[in-house]
Amino acid sequence: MLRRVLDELSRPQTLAQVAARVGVEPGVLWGMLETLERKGYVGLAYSESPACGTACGACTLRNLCPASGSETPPPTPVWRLTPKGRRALEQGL
Amino acid sequence: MGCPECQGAVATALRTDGTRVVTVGNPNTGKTTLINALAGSNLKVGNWPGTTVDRLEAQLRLPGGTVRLVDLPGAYSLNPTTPEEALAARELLAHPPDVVVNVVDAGNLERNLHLTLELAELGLPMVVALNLMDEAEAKGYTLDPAALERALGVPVVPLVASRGRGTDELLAALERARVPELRLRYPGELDRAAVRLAERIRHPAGRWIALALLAGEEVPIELDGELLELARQLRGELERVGIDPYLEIENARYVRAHELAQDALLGSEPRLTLTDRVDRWVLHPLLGGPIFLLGMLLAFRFTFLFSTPWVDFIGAVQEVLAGWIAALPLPPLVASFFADGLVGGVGTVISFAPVLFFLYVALAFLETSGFLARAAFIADKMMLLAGLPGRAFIPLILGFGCNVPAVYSTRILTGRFDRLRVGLAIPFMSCSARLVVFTLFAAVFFPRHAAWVVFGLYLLGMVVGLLTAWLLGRAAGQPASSGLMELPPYRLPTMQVVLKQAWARTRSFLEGAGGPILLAVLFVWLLLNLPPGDLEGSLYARVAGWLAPLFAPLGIGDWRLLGALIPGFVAKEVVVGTLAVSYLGAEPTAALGLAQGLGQILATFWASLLTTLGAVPALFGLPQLAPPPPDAPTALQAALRASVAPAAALAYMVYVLLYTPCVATVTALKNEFGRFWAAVAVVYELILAWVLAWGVYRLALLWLGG
Repeated sequence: MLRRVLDELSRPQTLAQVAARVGVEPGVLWGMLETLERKGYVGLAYSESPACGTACGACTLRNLCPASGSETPPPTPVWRLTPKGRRALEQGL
Repeated sequence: MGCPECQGAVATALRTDGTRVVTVGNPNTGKTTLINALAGSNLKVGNWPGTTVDRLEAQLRLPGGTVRLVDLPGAYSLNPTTPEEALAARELLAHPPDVVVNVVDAGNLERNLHLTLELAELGLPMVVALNLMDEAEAKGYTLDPAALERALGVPVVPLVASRGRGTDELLAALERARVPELRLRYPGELDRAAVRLAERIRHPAGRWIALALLAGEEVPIELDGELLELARQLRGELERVGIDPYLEIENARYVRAHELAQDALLGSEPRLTLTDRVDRWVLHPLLGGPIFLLGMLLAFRFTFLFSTPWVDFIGAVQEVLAGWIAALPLPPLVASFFADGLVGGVGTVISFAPVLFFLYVALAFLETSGFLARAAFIADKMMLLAGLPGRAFIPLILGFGCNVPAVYSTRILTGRFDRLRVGLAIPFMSCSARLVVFTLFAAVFFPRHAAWVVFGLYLLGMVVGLLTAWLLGRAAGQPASSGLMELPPYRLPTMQVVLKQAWARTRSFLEGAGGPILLAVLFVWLLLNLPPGDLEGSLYARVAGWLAPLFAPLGIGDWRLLGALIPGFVAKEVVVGTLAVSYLGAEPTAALGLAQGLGQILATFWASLLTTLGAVPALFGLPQLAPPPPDAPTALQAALRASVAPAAALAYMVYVLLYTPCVATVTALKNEFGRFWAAVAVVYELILAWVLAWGVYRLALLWLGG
């Protein structure tokens, strides 16, 4: 099941789409992603971002970037396969 | 104390005074509500995860004696990632209770069962409280608690704790608490290693601890070093035969939780939310892209329809201010400085603030409504087509706001070559500064199709940027990667949030107009007045004239248009400021009286207001329903229209879109990729801009004529 999730990360999809393909509720998939993230099989793109920072003043889309200190809700999480996750997938879990 | 040895036997602990019953469950499953319902206590209850962040206790008087009810914070797992989960795990392992009441959200059964299975491996007497049954029904689920009870081998009690439904049954079930009979299926080698390790652990939850150690988890109780060393050895052996203990253990729990949930689910009619229904279209593989483009087109249409009257209004105020300055007894050069340099140059830049304000309103609406997150998702797919890592869409999308932070944000990409090619693509993303130039030219030369023209320019920038990255990537041959995105539900943003965001961003643009833009425009004014009184023979005109042969194939020969490209290197907004100074400086300004000027301002204000109101029905209508362009163009608009043909104006816009990045962006490129690549970016973009502007000019000649 977790292998299927890792496999689904190889193409851009939404959480709801992958949940439907894996046959679980989005909440369950969210739990699986957190499980995979704990040991570094997947990563959140935004949490890795040290970018932006002080240069964001004039940026109209700065709220997409967590480093901008925006007042809006947290940016959209994007889960990515890490090299460790890719290795696990290739080894057939 | 729990009784792991008496598996299958009825627990008798409740008949003893002082029995400890602990409630454990995922966050927001109603554990505290349940304890309050059982004990009549008044513990704090909230409708959000994490209400209980500490260990809470209440007393329950039963015929057999007093029971201590302990409420632990919500946890998704006993392998903690939060302090609350750590507290729950420590409490269960360091002080094993007599009975565990696992509170499960019936509407999220499968996810909750993951923790249930972990608790089952603790080997403690357990009861499952299937809470929130009403919410599960509302979601369309029909559950069979008896099936779950058979599978788990412990009492399962359906409840609605908030209404006290099922609480008596739960109290009765406490008497029947049992150690779960269910056993998870792990690969043989892993199971044998767990058994071998568990034999060495003197603890009721030996099997769970053994599995946690094999998975590489830290266990929140004291264990001897020899045991930890054995666990490390066994883990190493498993990994050597291709078994990842962590993934196998977690996978087994998820698979079993799925099977249990499926068995317990008699029927489900999941109701689609509005977000689900809208996303079927917005995220459709074929329709998603066009809908995204339509959304952006509507944003531009909104921007132009509502901002144009106010740009005209500020333009009229500018002319009145210039007229008042002309009426003052000032030397001609000083009057020109104020009227042409300050009011004409900087004022023209400021006059585009309404365009940015309305664009920012549209973007803030799209952002807070959840549409922009979908746009990012669609863009993610486009990255794959360009052979880029999926996350490249973040810097590229940021480039539409400002190229400078976008270049720095390429650091989120892991490969240096990927960073470079995305960095070189970013300057083609049309930043908001370039919008000011497009707005001016589109309003003058294509007043009825301004939104389409600007939209087309944005698209052209995206295509050129992605093609650039794709061509560079052909050499690298790296696999593209993508990911999974959690999209927020759609929501209608409040007017206050949208306006607040739009204003904050417009203010930052206006503050910029007081700094480098002011200096650049005043410098241009100075060059235009060296020597004073003869613009055509000025230093500025002569330097700009040198460019004329180069741009003749693009149909652009006017020195004022060419000259504005040079300070545009500082910041793209300066292009319009420079155009205003050089065009308006040649026009004599008629002196105006105070009352006459005020009358003009009021009349224009009223006209702008009426045009804005008229723009509302035109927003979703065809172009011909749009309000007519103003009859009397501003002096700058009239001068521009007279100086260049529409085809050449289009080529000029394409050139401004694609030619050299501004100084700040070049600096960012230099900082990130070195001088060489910054220079490559400038030269590459100058050449590409000329070639594409020429191509657009030739095509436009066929369409628009000379």
